[in-house]
Amino acid sequence: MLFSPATVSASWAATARGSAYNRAKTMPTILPAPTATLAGSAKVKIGWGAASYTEGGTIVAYTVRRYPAGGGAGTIRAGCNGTISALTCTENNVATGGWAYAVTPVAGKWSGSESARSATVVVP
Amino acid sequence: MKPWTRKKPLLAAGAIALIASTAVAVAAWQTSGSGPAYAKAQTAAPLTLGDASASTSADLYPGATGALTIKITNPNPFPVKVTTVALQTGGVVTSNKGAACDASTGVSVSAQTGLAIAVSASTTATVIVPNAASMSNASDNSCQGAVFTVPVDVTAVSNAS
Repeated sequence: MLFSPATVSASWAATARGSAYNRAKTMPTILPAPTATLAGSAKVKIGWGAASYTEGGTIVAYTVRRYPAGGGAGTIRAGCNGTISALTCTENNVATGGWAYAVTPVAGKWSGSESARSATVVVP
Repeated sequence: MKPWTRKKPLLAAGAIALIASTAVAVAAWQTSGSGPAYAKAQTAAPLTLGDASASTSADLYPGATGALTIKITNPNPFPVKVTTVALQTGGVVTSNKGAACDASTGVSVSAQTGLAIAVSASTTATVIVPNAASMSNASDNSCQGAVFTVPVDVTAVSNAS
């Protein structure tokens, strides 16, 4: 008898080469308008609701723009400029006139569609 | 009377060597019982990776980690266990969104070791490797909704009991 009793097992290992996959989320395309209210002399407070990726998950950063009520190019000043990781901001040194605000969700270099514009706020 | 010789022991030793050399070629098998073992070796077939892009779930965005989805075919008559998944040396992640995204996917892959993902015998399975990929803020805006193709090496071992 050569092996008695015999239990023989051999290990096997190999590497397979190929592709794995993953997928990225998308930014929302429709956002409700923010609110804009006077917050003092030449100050306007803007507030908005949190946006979510189309596939779910809250977006945590936004940019804000201010537009002339009659139309024209947007701008923004200190207090609401840059990327804002909050759901409110207060813009300072706002010029006299009627203004509407809009927010855009951002993540790194990603950006979603800009929201609808707020109701006009008049800065006396 | 014929003198005693050592011929028979030598023949037995040769038989043992033959069986031993056969066992070396075995991929994954097990035999049990008593008596001489003359089990025939099987040749293990390599695993193959297929297109799992349709099975992905969107979980990557700048600053997030996500899963890798892999479609593995095990053609062997024994189960296997995936133990490591790693980006191929020099491998480049690409997308289905074109050059701008490909130039800056922001996607990186961390080698996953110590895995124990079972794939049954003679089957094709779509497996998920959680937290194997991450996306940096460098991801181009055009990468939204992209399906990324990640060249990987997958190591598996036999998982026969």
